[in-house]
Amino acid sequence: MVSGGGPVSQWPAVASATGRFILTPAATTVKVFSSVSSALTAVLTGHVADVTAVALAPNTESQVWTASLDGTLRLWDFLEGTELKSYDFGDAIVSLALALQGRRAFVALRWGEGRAGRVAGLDLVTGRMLPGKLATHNPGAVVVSGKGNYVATVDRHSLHVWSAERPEQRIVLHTTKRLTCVALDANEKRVAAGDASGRISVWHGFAPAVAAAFPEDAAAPMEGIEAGPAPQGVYLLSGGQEAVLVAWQLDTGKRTYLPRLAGPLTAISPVARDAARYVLTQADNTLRLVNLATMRVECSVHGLRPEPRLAPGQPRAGPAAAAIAPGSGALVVAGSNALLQFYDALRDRHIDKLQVAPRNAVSLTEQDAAAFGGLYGPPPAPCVSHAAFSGDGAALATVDVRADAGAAGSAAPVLQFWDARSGGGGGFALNTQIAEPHRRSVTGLAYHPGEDLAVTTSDDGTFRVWARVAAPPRTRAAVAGAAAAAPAAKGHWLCRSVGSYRDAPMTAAAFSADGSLVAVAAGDTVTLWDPAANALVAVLPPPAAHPPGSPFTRLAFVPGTPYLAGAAGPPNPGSYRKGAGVGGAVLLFDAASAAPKAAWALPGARASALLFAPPGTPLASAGSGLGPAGASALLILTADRRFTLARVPGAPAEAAAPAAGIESAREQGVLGYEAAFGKAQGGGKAGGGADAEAAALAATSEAAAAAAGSWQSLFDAPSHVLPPLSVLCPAFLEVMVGAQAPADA
Amino acid sequence: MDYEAGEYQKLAIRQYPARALRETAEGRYWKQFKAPLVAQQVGAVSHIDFSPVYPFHYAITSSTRVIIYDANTRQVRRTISRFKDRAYSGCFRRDGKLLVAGGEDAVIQVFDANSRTLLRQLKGHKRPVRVARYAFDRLHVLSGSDDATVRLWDVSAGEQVARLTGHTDYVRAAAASPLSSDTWATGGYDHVVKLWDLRAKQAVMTLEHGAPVEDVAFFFAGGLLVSAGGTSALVWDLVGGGRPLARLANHQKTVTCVALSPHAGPDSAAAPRLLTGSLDGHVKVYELDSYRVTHASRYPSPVLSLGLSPDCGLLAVGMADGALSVRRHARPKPAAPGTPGAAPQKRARYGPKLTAANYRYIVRGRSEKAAADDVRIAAQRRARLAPYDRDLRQFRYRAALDAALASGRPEVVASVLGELAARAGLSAALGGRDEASLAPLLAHVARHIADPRHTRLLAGVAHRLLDAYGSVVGASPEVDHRLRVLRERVACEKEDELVFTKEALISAQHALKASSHELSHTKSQLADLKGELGSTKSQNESMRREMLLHKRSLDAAHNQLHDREYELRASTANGFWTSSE
Repeated sequence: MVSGGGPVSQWPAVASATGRFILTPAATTVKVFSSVSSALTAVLTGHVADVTAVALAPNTESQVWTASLDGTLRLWDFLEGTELKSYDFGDAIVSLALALQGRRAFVALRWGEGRAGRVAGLDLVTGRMLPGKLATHNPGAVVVSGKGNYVATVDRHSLHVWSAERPEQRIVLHTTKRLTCVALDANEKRVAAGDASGRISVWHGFAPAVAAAFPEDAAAPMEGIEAGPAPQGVYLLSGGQEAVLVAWQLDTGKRTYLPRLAGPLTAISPVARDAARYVLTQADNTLRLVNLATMRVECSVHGLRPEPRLAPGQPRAGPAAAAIAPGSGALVVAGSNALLQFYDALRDRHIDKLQVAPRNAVSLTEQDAAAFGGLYGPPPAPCVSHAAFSGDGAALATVDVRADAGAAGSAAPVLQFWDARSGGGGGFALNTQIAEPHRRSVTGLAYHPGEDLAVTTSDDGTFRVWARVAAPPRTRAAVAGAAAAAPAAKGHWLCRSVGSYRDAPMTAAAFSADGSLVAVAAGDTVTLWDPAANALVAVLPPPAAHPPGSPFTRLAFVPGTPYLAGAAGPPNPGSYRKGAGVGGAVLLFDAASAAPKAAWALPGARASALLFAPPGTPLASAGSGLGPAGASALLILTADRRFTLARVPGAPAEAAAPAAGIESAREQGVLGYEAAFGKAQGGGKAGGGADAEAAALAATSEAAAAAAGSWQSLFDAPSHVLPPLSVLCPAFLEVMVGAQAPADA
Repeated sequence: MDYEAGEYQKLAIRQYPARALRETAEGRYWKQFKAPLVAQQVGAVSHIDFSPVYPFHYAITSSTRVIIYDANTRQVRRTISRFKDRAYSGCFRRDGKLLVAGGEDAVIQVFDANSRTLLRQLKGHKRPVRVARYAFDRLHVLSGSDDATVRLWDVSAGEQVARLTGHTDYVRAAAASPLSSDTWATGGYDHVVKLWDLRAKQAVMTLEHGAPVEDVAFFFAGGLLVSAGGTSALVWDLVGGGRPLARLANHQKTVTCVALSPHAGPDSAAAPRLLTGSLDGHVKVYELDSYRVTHASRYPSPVLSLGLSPDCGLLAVGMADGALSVRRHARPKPAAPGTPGAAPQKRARYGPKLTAANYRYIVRGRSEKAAADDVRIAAQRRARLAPYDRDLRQFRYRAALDAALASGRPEVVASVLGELAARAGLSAALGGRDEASLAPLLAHVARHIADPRHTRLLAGVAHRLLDAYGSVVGASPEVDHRLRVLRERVACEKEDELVFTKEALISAQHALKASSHELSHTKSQLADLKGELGSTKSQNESMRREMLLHKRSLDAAHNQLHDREYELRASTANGFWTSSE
């Protein structure tokens, strides 16, 4: 099964009692990472909707409660990987807190089709619901104090605190700003709440359930808190948009910082038996275990970083680049802050990163956006918009957008050419940087399959051909006896030619497989050029069925066929925006026919990139035979950074998982696509019935031989990844009985 | 995989493509020959020669003296003044131990370079000897004189070995081939360079330079020769039969001296370089692949001589007014160990190895004193942030911009502005300024807004400034003046652009006209072609007709044949039937 990625820090993560493991909700599963090696050690599967909260059962080593949008609360042993208990609330749970040493659970529910929230309580000893539910406007985070006697939640501008023993004893505290997070003191003396303006308010002496408390402001000079403060005695921890962890010593007012954590902090949770260590959940798909005593990061778990996150009102300067590196087959995806991450899709881990523009990750000041009545607005997020590899993977061209001093949303593109570092160390070294390769934004980038030649297209109505200048010849130098021991330096890049077609904005470019033609889309017309001679070879007018005025956004030559494929967006993209974010679909076409060959539905996320693995890469060999006949391995990358190899139902299961993941044996029966996205909606007809046919023919002797084969394949795995015998035994018996039946007959 | 919370990353300063020669890596390399030490001599410095042996002391010839300078301190090391009249062409032997010099009194003298002892006096020339050079075999000296002869001397015997005649005027230049000790090149005021074979004692090649030859030099492989004279230097291909390869005419006045270096230039492009000095006061550097000037520097008076040390660490230029300028490069090229140019290896000391068991090991090196030519390092300095980096790190955006402006480097200002724009800190940095702090900003914008590299960025900044301070125009005469300057610059630039566009249009019109001419020409050619085609067509037609006729006659013949055959067959059939009957 080749699928992976996905968010690991969408919901708050917790650490095990001793801090050896970090447990985090990841889609419908809970992933358990080792905090020593950052490696994935276990996956808890069973929920049917996204898991939203994980809470460690107090006084146990390895038991954990999980809550999910499917409305269930489940107890697991995460070392064994088994589910122990389950309660069904019926409504989607977004937050969970265990009070009174694990005797009671309080959950925040989505109520009334998600328009409101409720906080409900459950007695875990008796398994009965507590009477009465707290009605809130939104389901917010539920937190519990260190001793477990008090529970609190935030709801818009108010803060509810109640006793876990008698939930009807409740106080409500109000503020003027929208609250984002709340924390209760371990000594049950103080309650702190952060709000959207970056202020932390602390109330003292809530325990006696005083009816009215006077708010005292601790005026925090911060911009936008999002994370929950986690007090442990005298320290209050806070973090937010600015990616700095601040430890406040509440009694003295002293502050200690752990700066430059690279991503906004969304949650902080303590390690139960280690007062110095905390788990940070960050918005850039990263979990960190920090030690407050040394103020150091002890462990980091990185998921595939999400698409550049935009501040409210921040314009998107371009698409986020995605590609597959030839040779290594690494998945190359743009992240925030002009980062290009190299990801091993087979092993689901990072290989390398390339910071295209070296800069610090800083949070934006709101002052600029507000200046002159919002005339200039916030700048676009720095992001790699295009990336293209040379045919052999030894060179890389990137286009990234950088903020400009101009009016709202203006950005300057920067074209950069990189050479792979020699010597096996990996990585890329900058060869040439071209600031402002075009007057306006760059819309397309293509790299010649054989030569050092690249084409960029732009909205300004031109396309440019960039070529590598030959390195200075050393022939005469050698004659003259110079000791030129330096390695042959590669030449730099220059613009070789500029082309335009009727001043139409150029929107996409593609090289043919042999590199003799370059197709450039000029609006809804496609022009074909000879890159060597700079000559216009042909003009392809838009086909008859083409909606007028919709430019091609992607072009590609179909290898091995005489076809050129183009994708055009709707003339007014806004008209389709309503459906965005709900889900998407992927259609696979044969170049010669208009009927789709295969189709996949993507529930919950649109596809942000479709990548065919280049032949010869490990990814291509892993995906060969999974897709429809004749198609190369297709990697689908969604907007929330999950990816999977497209697979038609009935295709042969993959021979061997390259990384002996712990779940590989357990998930033998689950199809790769289905595990990631649920049941496939459509599918190829030929492959669909293969399983049924096999079942029908099981009585024949050929099927008996096949069954014997499958019996062997049941145990065809290293012993340490084999599922327990109790799981294997029924399957084994089934196979044996099926094999015996024809013999008896 | 390092995604960790890191240290502050320094601001990456933008780099722009070089607009001038001096902005290239090559230009920067030659500019790093810094700290000129000028030593005023009594007379014009007519010749400079670097010892080929480490540490590359150099001998200069000026007036009646040959002075040897220390390469490390650039101070006088030895002065040889045993000349009755002017001395010429003081030149080291290959091992740097002996030195030979000619003189106005027609005598060639050989000295010990260290002790200054006069070893030999070689007499025979009738007129002043302007050039004397040691041969590669270290035993012979070749000299050229104003009596138009070239003579070869055996130094150990102190006698003349050969007298080479062929030049018809003063001989002013000579060079030994690095390939063979029997091959020499000499140049004279008779405008030719002669290549001598000492075995045959005659000139084997005569190269016409076209002007009085001032200096000649062999390339390192010996296959190429460069000669200087008149306003140009010529590169000759000796292996190809004395073919001129390139004429380097980059000087305004007579080229007086040439020097070659095997690996000068920046490390990324270290390659052989040619240097020429001229009476126009310029020293120019050429790269030898396409013979383009990569660097030029100007000196205050006519350049008579120049030399580059074998490790490219010193560049010495002698001038007509007696000034000797010696510049030092910060990073000399290391020579390969074992070659004569390499620094000597420290000799291994014999004796017990000093280990930590010995107290002397603990105190080793404590009492050592730095030698005169040792490089003294003051104290370890830690890497420091630039002022604008410090301010950016502390989120003091206005101070960061002020620090960048104070640096005076437009690329730094551009980088800081770009970073501020990305952090949404521009309005914080540009706004809230008073008269004094606004002035440098406006001055910078006005100064660089017309530079195409900064126009886009600074136009945005100017817009923001006008938005922010438009309401207070008139409050400060200083700011008003700056704004006026800015307006003038922009207006001027627009006008320039208009003129440029107009010119471009005119040239395009011309091009159009030319192409229309071409078109009409092509048209007429086409018409001609058409006519030819027509005639060919008619020819074809007549040929076809002929063919048709031929075919018809052929058909007729064929029919006849067919008839005959039929008849024949009929007759044989008849015969058969007759026979069977």
